[in-house]
Order: sequence, then C-alpha cells, then structure tokens
Amino acid sequence: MKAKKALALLLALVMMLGVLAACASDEGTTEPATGDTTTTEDGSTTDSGDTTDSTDTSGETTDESGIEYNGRNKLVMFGPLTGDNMQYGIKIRDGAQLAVDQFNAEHGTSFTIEFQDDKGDPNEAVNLANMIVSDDTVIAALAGYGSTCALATAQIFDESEMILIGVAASHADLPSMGEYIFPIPMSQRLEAVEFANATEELAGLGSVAILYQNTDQGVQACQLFRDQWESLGGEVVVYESFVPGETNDFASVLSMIKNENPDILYVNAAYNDVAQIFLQAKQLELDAQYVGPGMCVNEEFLNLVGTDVDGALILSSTPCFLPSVLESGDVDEATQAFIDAYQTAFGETPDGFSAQGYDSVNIVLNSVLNAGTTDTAAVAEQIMAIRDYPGLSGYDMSYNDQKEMNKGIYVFEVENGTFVRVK
Amino acid sequence: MIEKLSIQLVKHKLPLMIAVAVIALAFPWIVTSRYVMRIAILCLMYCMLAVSLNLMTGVLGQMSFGHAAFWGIGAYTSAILAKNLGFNGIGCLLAAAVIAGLFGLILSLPVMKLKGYYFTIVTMVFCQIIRVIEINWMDLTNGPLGIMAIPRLDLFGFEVSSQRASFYTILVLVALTTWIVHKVVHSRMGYAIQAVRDDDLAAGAMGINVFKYKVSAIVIASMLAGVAGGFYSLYSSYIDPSIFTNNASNNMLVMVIFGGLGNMFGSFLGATVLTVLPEVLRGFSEYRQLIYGALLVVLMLVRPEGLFGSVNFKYIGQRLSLQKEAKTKKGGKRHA
Amino acid sequence: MLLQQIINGITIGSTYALVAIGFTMIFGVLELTNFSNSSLYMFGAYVTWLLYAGTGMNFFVAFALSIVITGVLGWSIDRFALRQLRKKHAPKLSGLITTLGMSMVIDNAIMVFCGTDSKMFENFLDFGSVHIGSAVVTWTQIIILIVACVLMIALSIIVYRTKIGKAMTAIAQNQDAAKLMGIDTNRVISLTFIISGFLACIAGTMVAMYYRSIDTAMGSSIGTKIFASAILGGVGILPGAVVGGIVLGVVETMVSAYISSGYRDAISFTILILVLLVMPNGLFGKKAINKV
Repeated sequence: MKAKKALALLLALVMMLGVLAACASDEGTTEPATGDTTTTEDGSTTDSGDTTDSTDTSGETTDESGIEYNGRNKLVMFGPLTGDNMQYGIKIRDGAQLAVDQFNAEHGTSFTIEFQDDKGDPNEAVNLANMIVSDDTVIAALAGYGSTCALATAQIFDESEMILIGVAASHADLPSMGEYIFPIPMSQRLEAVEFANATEELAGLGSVAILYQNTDQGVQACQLFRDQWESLGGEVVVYESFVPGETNDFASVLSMIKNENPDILYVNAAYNDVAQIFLQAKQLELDAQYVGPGMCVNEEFLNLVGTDVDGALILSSTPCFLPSVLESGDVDEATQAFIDAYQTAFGETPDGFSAQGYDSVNIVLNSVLNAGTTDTAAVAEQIMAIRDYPGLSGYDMSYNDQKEMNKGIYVFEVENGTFVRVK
Repeated sequence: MIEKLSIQLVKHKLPLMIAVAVIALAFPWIVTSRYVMRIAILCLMYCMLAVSLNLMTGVLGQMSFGHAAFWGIGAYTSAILAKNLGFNGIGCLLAAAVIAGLFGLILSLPVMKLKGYYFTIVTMVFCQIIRVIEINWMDLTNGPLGIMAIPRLDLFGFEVSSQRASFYTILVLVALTTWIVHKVVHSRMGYAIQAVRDDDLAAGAMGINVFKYKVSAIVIASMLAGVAGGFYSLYSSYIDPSIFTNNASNNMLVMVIFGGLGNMFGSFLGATVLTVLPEVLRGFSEYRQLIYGALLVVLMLVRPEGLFGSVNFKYIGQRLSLQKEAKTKKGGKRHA
Repeated sequence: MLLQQIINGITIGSTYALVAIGFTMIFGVLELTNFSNSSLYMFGAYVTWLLYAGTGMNFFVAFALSIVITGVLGWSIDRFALRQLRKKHAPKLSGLITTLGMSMVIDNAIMVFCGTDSKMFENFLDFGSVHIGSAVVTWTQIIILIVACVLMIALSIIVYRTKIGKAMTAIAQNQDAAKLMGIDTNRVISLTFIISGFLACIAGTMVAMYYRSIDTAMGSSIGTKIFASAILGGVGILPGAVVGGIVLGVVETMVSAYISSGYRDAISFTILILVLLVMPNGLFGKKAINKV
C-alpha cells in the first residue's frame, strides 16, 4: 500500500516534468538572438563571438547610433492583455510599440519590444518576471496597468539588476523597492498633495466626503488626500471605501453621504465606477461639488455620464487626448504628432495610458542612447538624472531624490458633456 | 485507454517510481530557467492544495468552493509572523497550519446542520468573507496594498532563497502531504469518512461518530492548505488579497475533478496539467482563456468522471496479484 | 434616510432576484449549480446593446431578438454539452465543471469581441422619479421590481400549475422514473434552459438600463450574490429566490449604510450563514426527508 502511494506521487512528477521539459525547450527556441545563453551573462566589455554569428542584425555590437548593445536590444512589457483590465494593457502596448518604431526610425537603432499577458494577476506577473530575467537580451521590463504587478515583481528585477519601469504604477512605495525600479506616473504622495491644494483653490475649503475604491491606489491616494486636506484646515465628514468589481450600486453609501451634507464629494475609483457614483448621486439629489480622479479623462467616461454631471471637476496628472478637447484648447506639436501617428497605426485615439507607454519606452531608450551602452547600471543612472522631461503623459517630468516622479497637474471641468481645462 | 494505462502503471510501479524519484531530485539541476523552475514549484504547491481538497471533496464528499480561503489564511499567517515578528522558521508553517485549521473548524461546524449544496454555497461565501476581511483589515493585512518583502523561509539556519532550495522544500512538503492523506484515507478514520460519504445515516446507525469524522477531515484538509499558503508567501515574498479569490478556489476544485474525485494520483495530474496549460497557451494571447474554457468542456465531455475518477489503483493491484497467484498456482501444478 | 435605504436595498435586491429566478429553476430541475447563468446574464445585455447600438434598430425589437438569442445559447449549453453528460450518466460534478468552462468561453468571447471597457447603455425606462418624503425613487427602480415579481408569478404558474411544470417537478424528483412515465425529459430540460436564458437576458438588459452601462465583469460580480439569494430563499423554490434576493439586497444596504461599506459583503454573508444555521433549508425550503 505504501508503495502505491509513493507510486502515485512519483508518476505525477514524471508527468509534470515531461510537460515542463516541453516548456523549457519551447522557451529555448524563442530566444535565438544571443545564441548560447551562458556566455552573455556579463560581457559588457568583451565582444563575445556568439553574438556576431547570430543571423539577427540586432545582435550586432554597435550600429549607426554607436550604442554598445552587448546582445541586449529588447524591451518586454507585461500587462493585462486579457481579462478585466485588458483595455488599459492594450493602450499601453500600442503606445509602447509606436514609441519603439519611431525611435528606431529616427535614430537608426534596432530595438525590439515583446508583449506578455499577465491578466493583471500578480501571481502570473511573477511567473513572467522570472521568464524575463532569464532572457539575456532584455534591457528593461515595463510593468503594465496598476501598481500591484510592479510591486510583486520589483524585487525579482532589482536582484537581477534589470530595469523595471512602472508604466502606470503610482504607488508611493515603488521607487524605494530598488535602484532599478522607476515609476512613470506621478507619485501618489506628491499627486495627492497637489490634488488637495487644487480642490481647495477651485472649490473652497469646505467639508469633504471621500469615497474610494479599496485598491492599493485608492487607499494610498485617499489617505494622503485626507491628510493634506486636514492640514489645510478642511474637514472630512465621510471616509468610506468599496471593493471594485463587486458592485455597481452605490446608493446606500451615497444616501449616507447625503445625510452628512458635505460641500465636496471626492471620489477615487476607475472611470466606470466614478461615472456610476456621480450618476447615482445625482439621482439621489446629492448636492455638492463633485470631484473625480484622472482615470476619468477618457471618452468612455463622457459617454457614460452624458451631460448629467456637468460641473464636476476632474483632477489628473496626465493630459487629455480627446479630439473634442484638443480642438478647443491649445495642443503642442509633439502631442498632435503623437495622436496622428497613433491614429494612423491603430485607428484609435490614444489616451493617458498610451502616452505613459510611449513615455516609458522613450525614457528608457533615450537613456540608453545617452549612456551609449545597454549596461543597466549606466542606463539606470541616466534615467535617474531626468529633469523636466517634456513627456506626452505630463509636463515637467522629473525624478526627485527619492526617485519619485514629479510633474505638473491638470484640472478639467465637465461642461456640456466634454472636458474643459480649468488649470 | 486510461484503464489500460493504469494497469501498466501498476504493473511497472517499481521501475517507474525509481525513474520519477531520480528525475524529481535531478530536476533543479537539469533545468536552469528561473521561469520553468517557478512553474514547477507552483505545480507542486497546487498538487498540495489539490490533494488536500481531494480529501475533503473526494473522500469526504463535501464539495468546497472555498479552499483558497485556507490557502490565503495560511499565507497571511506566515507572512505576518515572518514580517512583523521576524519569525520565519519551520514554526511559521506550523502556525499557518494551526490557524488555517482553526478556521477549518469554524467552517466545519455548520456541516451537521447544512446538507449538500447548502454547505457548498456556504464554502463559497466563506471564501468571499475571508477575502473581504483581507482587503479591509488594514492594520493586520495591509489591505489591498499587500504585504511586501516577506522574509524567506529559514530552515534551521539555512535560508531557503534559491529556486533550487524552494523546489526541494515544496517537494518534501508534497511528499509529506501525500503521506498524511494516504495515512488518513487508509486508516480506521478514513474508512469511517468514506462510509459517511456514501451514506451518513447508515454510518451513524453503525455507530460511527459522523460529526467527529466530518469535522476532522475538513480540519486536516484546511491545515494542509494552510501549509501550502505559508510556503507560498515565504517563497514569493509578496502577497495581496487579489490572489486568494473565489476564482482560485474554483481552479483548485477543477484540478481535483479533472483528475478524478477521490484519486490522489488524479489530483497530481490535474494540478500539474491545469497549472502548465495556461502557460502553454500563452502564445494564443487574448484567446488563451477562451481556449482554456473550451478545453475544459471538451475534457469533461470525453471523460466526465475525470481522468482517473473511475480508476481504483488498489483494486487493480489486488487483481493483478491475484492473477499472478493464479498463474503461479497453475504453473506449480504443471510442475507437479 | 431609513426609508431611502430600504428603497435602495429593494432595488439592488430585485436585480439579484431577476437573475436568481433562472438559476434556482435549473437547480430545482437538475440539481445543477449552473455557473454559466451569470455569463448568460452578461451575454444577454451585450447582445441587446450590440443589436440596438450596433445596427440602430428599434430598442424593443433588439431586446426581443436578444431574448431569443440568449435563449438559444442557453438551449445549446444543454443540447451540446449537458445532454451528452446525461447520456453517459456522468456524475453531477462534471456538469458543474462543464458550466464553469462554458462560462469562461462566453465571458472571454465577449471580452475579445467587445473589449472590457464599460459601454454606455441608454435607459429606455427613464420616466423620472417620485418623492416619498425625503426619499427618491426612480421609475426604473419600480419597473425592475415589478418585472421581477411578474416573472416570478408567471414562472410559478408554469412550474406549479401546468403539465410541463409537473413534468419538471417529476424530473427533479427522479429522472429515470419520469422517463418511464413517458415524459420526454430532454425536451423538458431543454425548455428549462431556454427559459433560464430568457430570464438572464431580461435581467441583464434591465440592470444595464438601470445602471446605464454594461461591462464584462457584470456577470462575475453578481455570481456569488445569486447563489446566496437562491439558497437564502431555499434552492429550487421560485418565490424563495425573489424574497431571498430582496432580503439579501436590503441587508447589504443596511450594513453598508450603518456599519461599514468596506465590510459589507463579509457581514451580510455572515448573517446569511447564521440564518441558514437556524433554517437549514432556507427561508422557504421544506424540511428535507432523510431517506434511509
């Protein structure tokens, strides 16, 4: 009987090993650029032979840009390309792809980018991170939508001395996770302070009811917002959270908020939930200044709310790419060029996520160009030195001493079913 | 086909066992890819979860949609102990088992009152309750921010930080789990549990303490899941509530049913195939989940009782030895 | 504020009730936990949206067409998967896994085809709102409640008063015996699935109009709530599903208004378990007789 038990265990292992071996051999065939993977571990100074006999030109040590590649020419983005958050992942992917194509065309380089799906699941992201750090052709990884996956994988990348760009990870703790970890969006710590100040400036220092999504982003952003609001001398009368994706109905919590009669309703959630909350608040005749987060600056939000929530303020650290808004406002040449190129390539209007994907790639590749090598330590140093970078996902982008991203913020007002920039 | 395969498996068990043992021990030295190692470790962890769930669902017959809750409780227990109290030794895994077992005890109390599907839905709801607590209890679990930089497992002064060490650790844990579950199933208690599964009224009439055996099976299953969770958080060094969802519970149940209820070997196979399959399907990008779902349906249509659900290794073994005996007897006669 | 909260609770509860009726019906006949029910609910809403927003046809025509299409999908889940399992006398669990797989296929097909972003859904039932004291009720809320009650009554009549309903009850009690009595079990079961498809589509579209939006997660987000509503009322009992849904909705709303909106689900589900401990067969369940 004992033997049979052991048999069961061991047979299962055989099966598993068989399948995994198949996996391993698959993986082996997908990384042809470097040839023998064991020899390229360092080799930042040696011109290793196995890269030159590669058929792929990207394996060349240098090209017209004068960059020392040392077999590294690839970026990998992992993000939700399936599942509930795939709309964000796909926008980031397209923005990043466009950036790589344009950069190669402009500088005569031969960088490539690869995309992997993590479904927005940190567990899968860690699987992918392990796959990416085993690949010696990769310079940097781009973590797609949200902070969770970036946080979950940060340690792996930092240990392997590979650059990780948090494309949409605004979590305040991310920058301190390692020397090789860089966020692209504005740090929540800095953002929340700016948002509270802007709300005070535009809506007055009244009582505020805060309703936020219980995610890493929502918790942190609203705690910081509340602290800043109270230090300005304002009052927080309601501070409630909800678990996103589990309900569409906010009537009960809004009825309670209505009872407290606040001057301002500050909501921090994804655009569809914000739209629901604003609409249901209107339905309940909750009379206050509605304030929403930057996640709402998109076409879908406007479609959902129509003209029903005119007068609501939207605080954002990324600009607005809606055609209707751009026509009315002044738009700089770079942004216009980006929108045109994006539309030609993908037949859609870009949004903040596309711009973040675009900026992420450009920040890395420009730093590689400046460093003249793909050695990650040198590239990381260049990224760290970025000051007042004119990005598309924001202006005056700079890393401060804590490696936090700082930039200017935008305030939009919903007016006649569209956004009007008021700050 | 599966039946024939099973007979072959039983016939050649010794050489197969040795081969598998050698391959398993050598595996971390053959494979260098971190990615493949990670998948292998996850596979083994899911084997642990599936085998423990099989004790509850296959052996006791109590279907559970909430196994991920125990996994999560174990993970949070050891993460909090390791991170806040610097307590990351083997005791950490034991603590995970104890706490998960306690929750298992709480969940198992309604089991006498609630029959069949009612209890099943209660397990589903239980998983949801635990997750909501994980999300909201900021002071203890750090809510949706998750717990980061959890120290690695410390085995008597040796830090389990490499993939290789983790692989061997989980391999030992899987072996232990298998041994425990095997012992339980083939003990007085196990026979009592199976009697309860087949007919709890009759079992009660025979003088079996139905309540006691139901509760202990559920508690043992949840403790084992707790250990798997404890290992997971110390291995992956980051956990957050989005991992321990109802979806994860459903996945575990699918593994068990896919392999065949009540069959431990089936659970191994189910856990392995269903962990590796989504990775293999990576190439299909956005169609990945769709194909996974379709494959599940097709497999159920082809083999509704799960791959090894109708196979009884013990029975095959007995039959084979009987045949052998008969042959030798015949042979003996001829000689005489 | 209490009145307003009760109204809020009844509204959200009646959305649960709408979906739970279809679920409990299949459960009553087949003892099958149908995971694809919430996917059909999402699917129905999407098909309605695709038909009226995509082709510009009249909304009510689109709605009717969508009900038919969702019914057909419900039928085909039974015809092409579950019936095969019945033929093989497969264990009930395999049916469950099959519906789980079907639900993944439907969810992901919609995701791939329509994307995961929320879509605007016009409210064709927007007839303004009524004030009761300080509380506000919209007509959409009232209509949803009425539809849930009407559907419950209509189905109750079908199940408890007609011949086909008697056949359903017979199948529920003993499939083989029902077959021997000359009941075409496959046909009756198919009909059950078609009706559950109809119901899911009506529910999905109504809820979509109420929230004025649809998204691909709308099904999975209410999955557990549907199961909970159904067992609270007593599985297989149609009026039970409606009352269970409404009670769950009101409890949830009260918890989120007076205790904590973050812990809402945890507290309301704990209450559910406690209720079940006192009434193990749900609010309306008959005491099961243990066969010896």
